[in-house]
Amino acid sequence: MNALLARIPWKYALRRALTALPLVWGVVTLIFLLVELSPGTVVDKFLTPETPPEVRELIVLKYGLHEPALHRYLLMLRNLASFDFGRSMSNDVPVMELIATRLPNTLLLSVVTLLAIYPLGIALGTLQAVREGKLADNAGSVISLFFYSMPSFWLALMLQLLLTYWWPILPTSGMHDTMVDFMSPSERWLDLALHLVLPGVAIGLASSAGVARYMRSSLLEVIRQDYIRTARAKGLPEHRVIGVHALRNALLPIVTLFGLTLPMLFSGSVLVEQIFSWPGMGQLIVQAIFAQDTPVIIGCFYLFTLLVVAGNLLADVLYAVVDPRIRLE
Amino acid sequence: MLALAGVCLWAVSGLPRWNAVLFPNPGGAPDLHAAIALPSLVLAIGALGREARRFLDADARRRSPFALAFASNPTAMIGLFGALVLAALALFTPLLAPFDPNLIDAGPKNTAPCFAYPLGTDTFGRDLLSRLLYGGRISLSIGFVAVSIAATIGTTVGAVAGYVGGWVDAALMWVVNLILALPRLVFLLTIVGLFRTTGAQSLMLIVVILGLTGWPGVSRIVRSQVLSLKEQDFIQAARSLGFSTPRILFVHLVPNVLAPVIVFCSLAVGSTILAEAGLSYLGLGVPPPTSTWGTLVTDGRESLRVAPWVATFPGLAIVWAVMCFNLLGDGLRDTLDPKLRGR
Repeated sequence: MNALLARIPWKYALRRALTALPLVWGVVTLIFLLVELSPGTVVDKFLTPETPPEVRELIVLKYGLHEPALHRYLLMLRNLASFDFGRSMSNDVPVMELIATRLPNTLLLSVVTLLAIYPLGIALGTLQAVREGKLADNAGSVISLFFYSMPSFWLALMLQLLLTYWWPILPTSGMHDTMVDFMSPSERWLDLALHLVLPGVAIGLASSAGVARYMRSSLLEVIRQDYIRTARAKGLPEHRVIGVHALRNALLPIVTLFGLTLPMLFSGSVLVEQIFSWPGMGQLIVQAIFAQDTPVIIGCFYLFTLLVVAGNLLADVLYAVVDPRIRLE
Repeated sequence: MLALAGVCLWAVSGLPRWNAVLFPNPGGAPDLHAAIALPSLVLAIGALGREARRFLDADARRRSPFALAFASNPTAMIGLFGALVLAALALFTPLLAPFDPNLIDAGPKNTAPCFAYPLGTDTFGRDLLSRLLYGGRISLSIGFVAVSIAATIGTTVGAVAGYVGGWVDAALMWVVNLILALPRLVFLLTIVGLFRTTGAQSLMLIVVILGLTGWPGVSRIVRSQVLSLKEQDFIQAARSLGFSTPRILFVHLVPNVLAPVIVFCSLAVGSTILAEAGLSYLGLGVPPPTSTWGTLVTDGRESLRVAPWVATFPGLAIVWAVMCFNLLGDGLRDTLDPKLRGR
């Protein structure tokens, strides 16, 4: 463990974190520009034409919309740096409060999904690589391609139809049963777990198929290496050759997939949270987009980007930690 | 070699399709659809058909190692066949569709699939098969046109970044990383939500935005290829002959990196169709009465329990199309670049 810890490239991580800052700034600036360039002012989108002019003026003053764009932009940057996202226009509560109630739900869904898709994908990919060219390999390829090509929202609808209507064994939507207040703590956990199944499957299955495809090719590449031939030649049983020698090396590039999966899961959650009424960030941002609620949109993008950048950084560092051949300097 | 050139032509034939997007018929929605859908489909089918004939022709196969590899690659052939069927269905839609796709009360409401209505009818009594066929035209042409835009931008940016280097490279790659860090669907939703308009423009907006957000992936691939190519002798030779930078870029470098670009195009058509379906599902896609496969699934959501077929079949159509283009892309990658095989 200490040997692994010693391998963390702190200098590199710090430099990467610093170079990520302009990226976050770029995203925020891009969204701000898009809002400014879009037809009509924020007030027009937000209010109906029938709103009395006095009310309109009050709202303009309240959100500081009479200030020039540059002034508002600089103010926004200053506020974002201290994690102050302003007030939501449609709910009139601080954006931070909205996000604080939603983010844990999305993180719960994403983390549980992540933890489920990797073992599944790795197992399928390994099985396929070991049986290369045989029936199991081809069937696995077809199945993973099928799920890889599937729109997550359609899968969600089909799962809902099958498992909550025709064969009702799982809850239709939401995070909790209506009777949640009368449950014991253990029942509550079970209830939450049951509510997680369908959204998790709908979001994760495609990514899991992606992991399987990647794992298969990675393991196939390793199996062709000389040291695997050596391991076989010295008479090791096949399960040790694959399980001990090949798998450990084939798993290395899978770590880098982690950074790529994160934005995919967020995109998936936007559609799937909508279908399963999962009160998360995806639902929040869709509502904000329909309501043209700029502070919420910018706040959500800011957080999304921070999470994605952090995920990528973590994946890179992890790769350096697990693979001693990698030198990040 | 000829076959390779033919496939390149298929990819580059995005340019005429572009014209159809940039100069649409202002007369109304149906004209615009025809303007986009038909030229792109005719071109795609023409190119695909020519390729298919070449692969089936034994003499040509002997001459071209690429054609031989492609024809003996089951993945590629299944993908090509599926894509050809889709293209043919889209081209002959007016002949195949039994009803007007928007005709209300073409049959009894919510009829289950039967002989008269092979895929059933929806809550307005519209024939689902006809709607599916016409929707496919729009979905497929959105995919083709958006990918043509993305491939053109991505190849140019990647080639310039890789060849010129220095701060130009740093700046372009910063933009690439920026777009890749955004969750694509959320970004698309935001742009379409902010700039939403009505009528025929909306289709244009979606196509252009899908194209403008889809290029960073391919520009990274092209850049890395150009970085290694530019050290080779033939580029040194071109430079010492005094050729201009644009000439070296587009005459000497770009043709040599087209193989991964073609693979990207095929895979990206699938992911673009998925992205468009997601947008449509949230009600930010092409406005009614025009429907794409995504909007058809949305229509079916309301009547999921009474008429499950309305949401099921469009979803299956999406899976079929995306699978075909993924298979074709995988097959092309295997045959065009054996080094990338299985990745």
